[in-house]
Parts: sequence; structure tokens; C-alpha cells
Amino acid sequence: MRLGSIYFAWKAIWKRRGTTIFISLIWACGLLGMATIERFEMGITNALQFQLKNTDLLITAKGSPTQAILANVFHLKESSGNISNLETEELLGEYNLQNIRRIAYGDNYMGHRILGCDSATWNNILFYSLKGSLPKKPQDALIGYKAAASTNLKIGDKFYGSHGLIDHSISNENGAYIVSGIFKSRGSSWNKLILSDINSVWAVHQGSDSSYTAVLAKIENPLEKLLIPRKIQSNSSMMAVSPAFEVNNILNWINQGARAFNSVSILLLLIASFSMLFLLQSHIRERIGDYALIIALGGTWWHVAKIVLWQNLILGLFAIGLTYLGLMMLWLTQDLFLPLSEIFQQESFWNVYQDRIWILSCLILSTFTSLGPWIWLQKIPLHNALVDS
Amino acid sequence: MDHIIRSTVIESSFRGNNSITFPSLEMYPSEIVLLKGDSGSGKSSFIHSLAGLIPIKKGSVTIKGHGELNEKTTPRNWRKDAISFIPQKPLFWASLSALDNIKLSQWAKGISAENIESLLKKLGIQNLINQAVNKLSIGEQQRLSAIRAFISNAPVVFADEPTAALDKKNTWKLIDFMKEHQNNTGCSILLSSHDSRLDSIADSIITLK
Repeated sequence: MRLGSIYFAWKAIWKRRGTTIFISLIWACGLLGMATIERFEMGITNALQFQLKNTDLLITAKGSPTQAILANVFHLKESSGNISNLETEELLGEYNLQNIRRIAYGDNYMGHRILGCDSATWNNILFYSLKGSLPKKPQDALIGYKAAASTNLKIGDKFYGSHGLIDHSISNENGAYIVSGIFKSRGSSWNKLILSDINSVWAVHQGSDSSYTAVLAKIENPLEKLLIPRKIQSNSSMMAVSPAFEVNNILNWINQGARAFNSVSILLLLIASFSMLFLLQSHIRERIGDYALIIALGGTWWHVAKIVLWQNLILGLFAIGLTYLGLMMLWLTQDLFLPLSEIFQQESFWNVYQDRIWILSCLILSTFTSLGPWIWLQKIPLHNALVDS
Repeated sequence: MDHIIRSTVIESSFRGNNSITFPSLEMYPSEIVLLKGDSGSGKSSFIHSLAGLIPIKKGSVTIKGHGELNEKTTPRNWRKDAISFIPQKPLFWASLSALDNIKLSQWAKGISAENIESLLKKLGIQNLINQAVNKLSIGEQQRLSAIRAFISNAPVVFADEPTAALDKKNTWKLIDFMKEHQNNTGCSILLSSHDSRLDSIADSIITLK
């Protein structure tokens, strides 16, 4: 078999594994920083925008708007209280609202919130997968896959909720829930929840008010998106907020931070590129006798160029590979250090198309960094290079 | 008969501003010329000049059918097609095996040879084919270097002290190998050596002083 420049380039850089890995690592650090920030920014934006889809209005008990959004849209905090269902229904009739979802906090099971929902809510959970079925009978429960994993609940299992959100010890024996399905949703917060029909949650609490914790709705008219929350706020005892408006402020702030981090990352990449340029230069200096030999054996400078180019491209590809290895580790360990777990969505995290700019830049830089040493090599007297090597 | 290689008196630049002058040279097809001289007399530099590895300041070298090497130009494909070269110090890519080093040379010259193993066998290094080249002894490297030079069919072969590190048995093996190649291809060989055993195979001798 006739061997080519790629083979010889590979053999040459593999012989110097330490330097090869070192150069690739420096480069990969810069690339990983950029790729991570890009994903983080996109992940947060997507996650928030997904959760906020069809949610132009949140009606809940008076309190902190931020807490209300975190509790009732993202299900991350305790709600500030309940609202009367009669008063709320009366209010809802007065405005032109779409996609109205009523929710009521239930108990918890092993730390996972049981959320009572109406049927409109099911349409707002974008399912990746659903095993079993949506709740059909009273006390049927649909559980997120993360909740299922940590509670060990399977379809058909029966369980009792505990009072409140934190308490694990007191079983509420008024009604058992039966797992009808296990789902995985694109909305990160859903996956840790246990969902049941709102009437089932009320049934467990016999004797207590059938009140809502919150109502979420969509407003089609852009002008009314601003006006309705203000009107409800001033004309009722309830709090009405526009989650999109509030969260947009947070997003802008996050994006500013991401841009700052991105600049640091670009700087890191530039430093890495310069270091690489010098390291490659010294790498090539060490091997000057090898290149002179190709010329002495009858090769041309084009032969040398191909080997130097392939060496750099292999290093660049190594760096790209290491960057994806870093991203893989980030993907696998995100639960350990990201409080809003599943901030990275699978389809956008592993969308290589979004990486095309830095992958292309990396390959262009590999080509560019091979030009200088190649031109320099041609100025070296061959006889000296051969005798001194 | 026409000359295969003809060199006028040439002056070559040598390590910066130094220059060195070499005598004229004429070789016919299938001729072996022995280049002799004390250490430092310039045998290797002469061969490197003829090979175009040291720039020529004055004079010219012509190889029939391959153009003229002079102070202005090195003909395209001079080292690829016109000459083959065995350096004094065996030079290889340390990261490659013995076989891959031969293949590197083939790649550089744009040729392919299927009989590498039989050539290695002729010089008794067939078992070292996949050995890393830096694990070979100098003698083994020298034999490998000779094989690398003789896999091409260049009309002129420059061999710079090819037997320097070989014992008597391997020296004669190499000489037989060179002569067989010469008989098969009709190439001319310019051989530099201190080794008086090679006098007997030379058609003519040039001594550098």
C-alpha cells in the first residue's frame, strides 16, 4: 500500500505525544470556554422561553412577583399562597384570555411536588417521551422521569403524599395516587414534578378550600399583554404579573454576563493560538532534519507543506475532539453544579451546526499556523539541516 | 558514448560566506567512480553540491535528459528523477519503521516498488522491516539507506561512504547489491570512501585534496 502525507504527519506527531496533547489541550480550553458559554446562553434562553410559552399572565396570591414566577412557572420555590377559585373564575370571564391553565399545589412525595393541573396544562408539557398514559381517572398521577428515578415509582405503583412541600414523614392517607404514566419533557422543571388532576389534589385535602395556587394564561393581543395584568392587579385582591416581561429583564442581564464571559473566552483562544503558533514553530524546528530529508530524497516543498499542514490539522482536530469531550463531561455532570438542572437541552446542546464557526476557525487557524513554518523552512540551507540533524 | 553526468569545475557556497571549489567530473552510463580524499577534503560537500543540496556559486552540473544545475536553477525533479542519494550519516525519520522510511522515500519520489522485502533480504535486514528505525544499529541503518537509494531507477547514484559502518561481510554484500542494481538499470555510481577495498570495483578514481 502506498502511504500518504496524512500517514506520515500522523506518525510524526504521535511520536511526540506529550507536545501534541499539550498543544491540543491549550487550544481545547479556549474552544471549550466559547462552546460552553454559547450553550449556556442558548440553554437558559431556550429553557426560559419554553417555560414562558403561552404564559403572558400569571395570577396568584399577592407577594413577590419573582417568587410567584419561580414558584408557579418554574416550580422552583414555595408559592406565597392560594387564591379563591370562585373569585378567579369570575375574573377570568372579564378578560380575553386563551390557554388558561389552573394549578393547585398538592402535597409532596419524597420531596417531589404534587401539582394539581387542569387538562389545558397537559398540552403545555412538550413531551420528549411518555410511557403509560395521561391521568384519566381520579387519583391518577403522571410523573416526571427525574421524580420517577429518585422515588423509584413505576407505572401502576400506588403512593401517598405528605403534607406540604418539604415534609416527608406524614403520609396523607386520605387518598392514594396511582402512577398512570412517566414522561420526559423539554421543560426542565416538569421532569421533577408529580402531576395529577386538580380535582384529585383537592380530593386528598377533604374539608379544605378548593382553591387555586395560580392561574396561567396566554394573551393574544400585544397591547392587552401590558394592560390586563395592571387591571387585575388594581381591581382585585390578587397579584397579576407578566412573566415574560419580568424574565426578559433577567435574560438581558444573563446575556450581558455571557457576552463578558465570551470575551474572556475569545481572549483565551487568542492566547492559545499564539502559544500554539510558537509551540508549532519549535515543534517544526526540532524536526527540520526530517523535512530536509524529504527534499533530499526527491520530494518538493509541496510534500513538506502537505505534512506540516496535516500535522496542524490533526492537532486542530484533536483540539476539537477534546472540546467535545469536555462538552460531554459538562453534559453528564450538569446536574451536579447547575441549580436549574437540564438547562441544556439535548437537541441544542448536541447541535454541531451551531459550532460551525469555531470549528471552521480552528481549521483555518491550523492551516494558517502551518504557513509560517513552511515558508521559514524553505529558507534553511538543506545541507546544514541534513548535517546538523 | 555520451556522458550521463558532466560537471565543470564548481564553486559552492558553504556555511555562510565560505566557498569551496571542486574538480570537474564526467561519468558514463554504468560507470563506478570512486571519490577519495582525507577527512575534511570535501567529499561529502562535493556530493551535496552535485545533488543540489549545497548551492553552486560558479559552474554547472548536467545530467543527460534532466537539465543543468547551476547557480541560478536547480532543475525540477533533479533529486526526484535524476539522482539517488545515500548520505554519509544514515538519515531517517525516527518516528517511522524501517519499511515506512522506505515508503516515505517512495512517496517523496512518486514511485512505488513491490520488491522491498526482497531487497531487504539481499542485505540481510528483512527481519527488521517493522522495527523502529532508531532501534537499528548504524550498520543496519546504512544498509537500509542503500536500499532506499536503490529502489528508484535514477540514472546517477551518489553514495557517500556507504560502507563506513559495515564489516567485511556486509561490505561485500552491499557491493554485490550495488553492482547488481547497476547491471539491471545501467546507472552510474559516484562512491565516496576511505575504504581501499572498494578500489577494485571502481572504473576510475578521483582524489580530492
